[in-house]
Amino acid sequence: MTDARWRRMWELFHGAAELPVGERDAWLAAACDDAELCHEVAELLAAESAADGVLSRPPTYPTSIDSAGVLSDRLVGERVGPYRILSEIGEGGMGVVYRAEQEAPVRRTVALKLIKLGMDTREVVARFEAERQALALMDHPGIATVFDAGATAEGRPYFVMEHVEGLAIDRWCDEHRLDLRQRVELVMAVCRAVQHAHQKGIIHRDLKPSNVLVLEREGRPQPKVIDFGIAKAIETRSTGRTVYTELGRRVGTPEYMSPEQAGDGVDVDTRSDVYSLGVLLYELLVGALPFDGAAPRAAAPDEHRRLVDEPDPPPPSVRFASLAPERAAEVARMRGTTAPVLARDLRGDLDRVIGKAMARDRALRYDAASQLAADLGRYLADQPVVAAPPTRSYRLAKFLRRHRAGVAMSTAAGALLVTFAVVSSVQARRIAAALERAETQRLRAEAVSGFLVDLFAVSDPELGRGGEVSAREILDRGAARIPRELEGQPQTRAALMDVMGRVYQNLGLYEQALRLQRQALAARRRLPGAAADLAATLDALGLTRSRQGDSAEARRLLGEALALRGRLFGAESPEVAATLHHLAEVLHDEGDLAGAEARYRRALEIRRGTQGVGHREVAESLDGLSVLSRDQGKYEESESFAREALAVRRRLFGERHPAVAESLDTLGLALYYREDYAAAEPLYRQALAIREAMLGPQHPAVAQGLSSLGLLLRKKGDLAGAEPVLRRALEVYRRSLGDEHPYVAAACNNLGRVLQARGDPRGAEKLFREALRRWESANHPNVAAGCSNLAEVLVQQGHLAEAELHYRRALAVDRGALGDGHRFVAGDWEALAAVLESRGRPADAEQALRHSLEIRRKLGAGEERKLAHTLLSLGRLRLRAGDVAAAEPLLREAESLADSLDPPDESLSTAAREALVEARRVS
Amino acid sequence: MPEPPPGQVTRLLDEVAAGSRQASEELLPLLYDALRRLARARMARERGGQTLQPTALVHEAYLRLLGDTQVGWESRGHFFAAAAEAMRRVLIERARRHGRLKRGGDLRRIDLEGVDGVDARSTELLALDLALDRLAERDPEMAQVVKLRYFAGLSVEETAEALGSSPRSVNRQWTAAKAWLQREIDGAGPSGNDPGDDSG
Repeated sequence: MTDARWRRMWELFHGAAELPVGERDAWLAAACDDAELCHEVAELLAAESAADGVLSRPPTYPTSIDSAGVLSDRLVGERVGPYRILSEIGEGGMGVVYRAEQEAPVRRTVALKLIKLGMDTREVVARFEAERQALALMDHPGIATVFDAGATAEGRPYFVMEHVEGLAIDRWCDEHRLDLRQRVELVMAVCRAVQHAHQKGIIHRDLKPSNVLVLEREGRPQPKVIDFGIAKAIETRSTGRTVYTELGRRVGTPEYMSPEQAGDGVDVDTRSDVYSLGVLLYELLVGALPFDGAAPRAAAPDEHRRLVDEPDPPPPSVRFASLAPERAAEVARMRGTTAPVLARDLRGDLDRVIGKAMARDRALRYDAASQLAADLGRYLADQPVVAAPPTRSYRLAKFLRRHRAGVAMSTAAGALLVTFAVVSSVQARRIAAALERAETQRLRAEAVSGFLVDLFAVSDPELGRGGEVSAREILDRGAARIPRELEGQPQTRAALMDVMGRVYQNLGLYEQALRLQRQALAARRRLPGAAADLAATLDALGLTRSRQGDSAEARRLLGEALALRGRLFGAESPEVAATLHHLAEVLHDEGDLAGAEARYRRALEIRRGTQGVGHREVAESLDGLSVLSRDQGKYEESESFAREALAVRRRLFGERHPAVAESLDTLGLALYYREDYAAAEPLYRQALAIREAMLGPQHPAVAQGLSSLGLLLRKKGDLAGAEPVLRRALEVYRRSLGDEHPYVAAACNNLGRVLQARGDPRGAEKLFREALRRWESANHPNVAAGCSNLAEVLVQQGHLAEAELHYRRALAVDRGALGDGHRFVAGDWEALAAVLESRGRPADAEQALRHSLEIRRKLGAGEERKLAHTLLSLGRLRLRAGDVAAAEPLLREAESLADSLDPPDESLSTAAREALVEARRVS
Repeated sequence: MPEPPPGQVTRLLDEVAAGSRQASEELLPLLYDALRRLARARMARERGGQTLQPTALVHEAYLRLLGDTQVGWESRGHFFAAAAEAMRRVLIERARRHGRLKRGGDLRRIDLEGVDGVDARSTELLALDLALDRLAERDPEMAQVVKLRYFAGLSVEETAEALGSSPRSVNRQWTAAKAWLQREIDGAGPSGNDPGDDSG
């Protein structure tokens, strides 16, 4: 590899490494044109982001058992009893530990601990014998078995134990970079082992990292507690302490001993071990001991004095915070995290559990190691721990944490709290600024919170029936409880109903929303003051009615809300903008496009001014304008509005969010109308996927997405693909909005068109009829289109009489709505003419065609093709009537028009020419 | 070799700074011995199978050999460069011996289950050593950064000072080198380890 290439490789590497992982590939692909080099850089990046590289661990000085002159080989090679010493493993406070081989009665490798000279051998061995029975009964994978005890020729006592090839637990944790959870789990296993011993009546008394070895078994760490029973055996009055000499870290002071042990050490029970376990856990989590030689630990003769004199150990989180920054960073690194994250994780329950384990007063500690393990288990499962005070807010916090996957923005519970928080803060801000009722508001907010907390409390397995409860159930249950429970608190009730109504609305459950919102409205109308609340409910209810298709009531409610908000907040406020937007939607649905546009634009202006261009509500306005422009036929504008809205929403929410789905849809439609189907399709599919994932398959927004996709597929010509999609859309609309909703009519219509194209006129007819029925009852402008569609399919089936009826109807509606000169009207005339001709009424047909001709001549540009058609039809009719003189000029005009078309229409030109030939023949 | 007389190292560093090649050549073995001696002394004090921190040894050597003498940053740089290299040799030598005893001299990085941390580390160290040589061929400066940071335990700032470079450059080189070396050790690099790796 040349120098230049080497340099370039690193240029690319560093360029990509500065980006977040997700963006690197794209950047690299763009920046690098040499595929091989690109590949190398990618490999290097992968190596860089791999967590545990060789160089991320500091070098260690390899210790070898047999490097002469460095480690002692005092006894190595010699025999002690039936054991042959193989090598030295290490040295502890009590003496040296060797690896030895037992020859009889069984052949195995053992660990032999040779106790220091100076202790009374007989007493030691005798005491060990007393324990031996109990020790022999211990059988737990977490406990290293002690086999034997004896004395050497020189009179030094020794103990023989199971040889554990493991690392001290603190080294294990650091070398394997175990994170907090893993360390807690490991200590839980140690607790269980210690519990086993306690049940056999054996207290360890000397639990510390070097007495808990860890080895790997079946891919998992297996802790083994060693030296059980030995501490007691060799303990004497004055040597109740264990001394450390490891790298100068801990010298002298016994950090792992419980206060009662540090004293005279006689009155020791299982809780002493619990204390030591607490300290062990402390060190493993914090990377430091509570008192690293700093605070004095007086060995006061009596417990009482000790409790008074000794300072409390600092909680883990506090101790960690007191470490020097480099040390803290190092500690965090060994736990696979960073210092700030570690500090945060230590706070709270870990502080509490460890605090309880290490309580100086043993009455306050956990009674058993198993209890400590259980509480640690609760911590890991985000359940409330025994060590914590049982307050409501604590339980609620735990509940939310447990369900945090489900309690996200898109589910009821989270939205409930968040929405309420938003509503409260807006209200509180406004009204606190104006009135002294701020206090009342705050109290009300608290009451509502209390209600919500109780709501969650019932779902908390600790208190209630247990089992998983869905957020929806909570919501429904809450809705049911409101009337009963908040009887005497009308304002709180109203607030809660309003909020819950909103949540239902967001979920697309308009029926439920309606019920609650109406109640809230009624209540708020009765309540004095709190006009802002009333306006909010009017707005929300208006929106629900709008979504349900009742424009009239929606307009009324929103109008009232608008007036009220204008007075309260001023004309240039986000609240007013929101209601304006909702009003615009209603007008839009009704067909008053100009009125809708004015309001959309005004709302956008206000929002840009007060909330900034990157605000979600600005995106909402842009999206609305995109849809509107599309309906106005301004497709380019529609596309640019949609793009802008999508950009804002992506920036705010990332890729998976219902609002982003909506914008993808809108943009897709804009592209669709610009006939760029290839670009539109993936957007639709993306939007649909997001919605389905976030809202569930029965949400009306999903139906909307399906509709769009179906229409697109039809346009593309993929009728086979379009049909099932549109069917599903219809089904979902029916299910979610009810049969009476106008969207259902539209969906029927769309599906009908596809069926018609696929050659199922009967099926199409049924759907068109249904659509038409809905539109007629609502007096919707789509009636004309509905009639036309139905008529067309009736013609296909030969039901000409009824078809004529519907075409006439369509004509009438269109003339009424669009005036006599609209191109749709011309089309209606033309279609009518065709039917009339088929029914054998050429004169009537001609008359209709003349109407059409007149309109089309006037329309001029863009209508040439259709004009040619009309001329041809009319000319033919005249010809059939025998009036060649009138027919010829028409046909000639048709021909020349057909020939001048771009793109050319062959069949039309040919037909015109044929007709002319015929005409000349006749004459 | 007995402990060097005080001031000898300082003198050597001065000569190195003045450009004496011979002084450079004398410095390395001197440091090598010093480090080994220090390691032995430490080990004797702290028995129990505990591992030493090589980087701590390097710093201890600095204190012992240079004492209170103030040396310029260039000389400091030379010292640490030599010390890092010396430390590296010490470690590799031990790892080789260790490796030979346990593994029959196999230098490839293979999966080691159920063996205590030391073995795995020895083999890793040897692999690193080889990879580092390869890196030094391609980009001596990068390799130098690795030696100073890893074997002498210098911080980014200290390394920058020792090399007369900037912390930013050092950081970049360190990141780059880590990635490159890791890849080499994993056997995926272009110079690769043996083909047909049957590590298990």
